[in-house]
Amino acid sequence: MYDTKRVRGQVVDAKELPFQVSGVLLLANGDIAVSGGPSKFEILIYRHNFKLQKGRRDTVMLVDSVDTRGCNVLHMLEINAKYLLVIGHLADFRIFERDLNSPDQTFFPEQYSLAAAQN
Amino acid sequence: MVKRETPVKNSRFTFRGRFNDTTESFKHDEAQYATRHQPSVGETISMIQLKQFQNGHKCWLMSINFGFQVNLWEINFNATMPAKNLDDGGNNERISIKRLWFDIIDNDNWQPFCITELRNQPAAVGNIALGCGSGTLMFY
Repeated sequence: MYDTKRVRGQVVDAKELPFQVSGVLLLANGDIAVSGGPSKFEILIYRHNFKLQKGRRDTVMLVDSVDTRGCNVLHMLEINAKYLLVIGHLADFRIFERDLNSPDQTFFPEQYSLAAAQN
Repeated sequence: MVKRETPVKNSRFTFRGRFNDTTESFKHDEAQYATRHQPSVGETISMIQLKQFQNGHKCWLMSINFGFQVNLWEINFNATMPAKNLDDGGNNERISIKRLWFDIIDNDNWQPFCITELRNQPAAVGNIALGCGSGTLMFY
């Protein structure tokens, strides 16, 4: 029996989990990409939410999602800051390009400084 | 718990191309597969980006798939001519993916499941390690 009490942060709502999570990738900016889970053909990108609740750092917020165009993504690679490569069933490669001009893609040092201070 | 809010509006990710490997990669003897009882031949098990070999325009990946196969891929982000088999949906003009090399692992039917890049190893050892079950490691 799996002890769910040992799970500190639950990324995906179990009540809305119709599909197996098939891939998890920690991105270079600290975000967490999850494929599968709530939506089979979508990659959800979460970020630690250091400001939401004092003293709790095990919460995440949804900051982006990728429509995989019908691809059930099994593996993900962040090639560089711009490109995300994913592989679906039977070596179905797909490349997604990230808009680097979006302010949400920048690294937020003040958030991480806050987390360090809370430690 | 996370409040479900997807699909996120104005996603920062744009589809740039697709390459389906199923017809291109598996040209070796089909009978070889038939003797090995794998559940889904051709399914990619794991993939890594080779950090030691990359530049601003190209990068190289290695993948392993069911069928005892290890592959080396090249992605060119600045290609003058895109790969013919890259289905780009009409919005990509520069990215190409091609397979440079593959090998069929002769390993007493131990399917590789993990792949990692080694650093600072002597050339005789190799740069890539595959974990193939029952404690078996293979090096490339």
